Amino acid sequence: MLVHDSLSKFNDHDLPENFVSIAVMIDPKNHEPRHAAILIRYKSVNYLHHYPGGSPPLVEDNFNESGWYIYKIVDSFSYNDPSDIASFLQYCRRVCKNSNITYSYIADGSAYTQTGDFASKQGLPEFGTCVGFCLNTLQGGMIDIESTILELSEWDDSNVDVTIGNRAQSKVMVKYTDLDWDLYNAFKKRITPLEYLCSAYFSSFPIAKNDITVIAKQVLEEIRLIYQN
Amino acid sequence: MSNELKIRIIQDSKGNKLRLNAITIEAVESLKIFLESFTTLANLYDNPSDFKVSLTKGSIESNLIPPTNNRQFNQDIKDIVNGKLGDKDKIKAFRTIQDRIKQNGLSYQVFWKINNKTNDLTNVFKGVNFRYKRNRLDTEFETVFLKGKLFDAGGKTISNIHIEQFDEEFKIECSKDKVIQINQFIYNTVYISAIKSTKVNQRPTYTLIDYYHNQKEQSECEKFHKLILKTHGLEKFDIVHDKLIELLENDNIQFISYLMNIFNNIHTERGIIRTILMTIKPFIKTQKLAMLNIGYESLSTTLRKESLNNRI
Repeated sequence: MLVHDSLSKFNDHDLPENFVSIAVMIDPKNHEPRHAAILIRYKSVNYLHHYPGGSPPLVEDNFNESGWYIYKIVDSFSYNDPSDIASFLQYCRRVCKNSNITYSYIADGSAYTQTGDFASKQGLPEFGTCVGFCLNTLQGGMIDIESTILELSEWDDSNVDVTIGNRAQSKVMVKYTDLDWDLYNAFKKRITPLEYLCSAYFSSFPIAKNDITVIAKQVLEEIRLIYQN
Repeated sequence: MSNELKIRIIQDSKGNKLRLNAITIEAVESLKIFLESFTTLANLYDNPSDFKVSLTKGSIESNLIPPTNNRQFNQDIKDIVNGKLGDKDKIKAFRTIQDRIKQNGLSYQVFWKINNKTNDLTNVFKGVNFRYKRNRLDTEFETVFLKGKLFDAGGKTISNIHIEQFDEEFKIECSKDKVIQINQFIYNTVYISAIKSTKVNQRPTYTLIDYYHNQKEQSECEKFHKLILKTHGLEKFDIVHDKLIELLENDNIQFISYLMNIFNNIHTERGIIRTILMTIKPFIKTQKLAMLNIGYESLSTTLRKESLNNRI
């Protein structure tokens, strides 16, 4: 796996003029990924598709925040064809418009069906984190992916931030009074933004957790190198 | 610092890392091709003698260094990355490099260092073949909707159907399966769509896309096709998506099939094909859409044709 020179810092590169990429925001203090997004460039204009957590998901037009985003282009979307990129951009806008997501450390393999009904695989309402939201979006947009990008059964809740998790759960309790909490807890898991970024290095799915773990260190090191210069 | 087009040979076909002081014969072949292509390219610009080449140690890296004031070279790299058609001779030189890189065996990386930033172009060189502008001996393609009396269907090596409309006869090529299906309408009016190919100074030829059960269905398909073709903004993708959702909700699987077929060709813009596939994908495994499986696979194959690394 060739990680060296494989990541781009936003907005140091203006090539290509059209692409879809897996992007993460980097924490200025420890240079680790702390938020997941999909960065789209269409006809040289940048768009950021993401779920901030405290507010609904959105596609930010003319995204222009310098310096703290790292991205890797997803080559399932032809970056020498603006039409391909544009169709994914519109799809992201539809996903945001139709989403009723509530923040929770849940990842149950559901996807965005485009009908306005979140197609839950397990019978839960629409839950997720910034990472889950982006993974689900990509799963719907990449035709080759039959199920999920990651082998979700291999992740658990060991990386869950307890404070954030509890705060999220209390909001869930208010919004969904009839929730099956056994089902909720069964799918409680946290995928980190770093693991999300690592998924950009693979071309067959679902990706095993171990494969992600193997390259995570190199990817983190690559990010540190970028910010050292 | 100068800009550089860097080609790195990393491993030989046995997976061994390569070094400048121990170059395998097959790697030498690649290096030769790259250096020759660099020479060819340099000579296509205004000041060839100002181009430099460097070989860097570590992996075998050959670099073409254009003169600092050469903006044309930068523009040409930009055009290649963005899939734009280029000058014939330059593209041929880049294609020589590309063909070598795409061959199985050694593994390569390509970088374009511009204004001190490095862009990884490996996937561009491994992707769709670079193309150059052709002159006006092109073939023009158009999707057409025809109706007429079916008076012949068959053919020994090339199968086709013949229809007559207002004293004009059309011969439309199609698969043997389609001939058998359409033959049920022999001596009756058939409603079809086809790709019309016209070469300069030659009579057009027709290849079947689909046939419709009646005039109404053909008209609706034609109307929708026209609507999408003439809508220029991104809302055209929403129109396609919304139409498919409406058809799904009304269980109008036949019309979904018509739409999948009418847009299933390499002349349709990729975004339309991707939108259809994205919209249908969550439902394709259900019983209700079983009859669309072949059409869905076929549409996926079309999208894959001009994809990077065969991934969609």
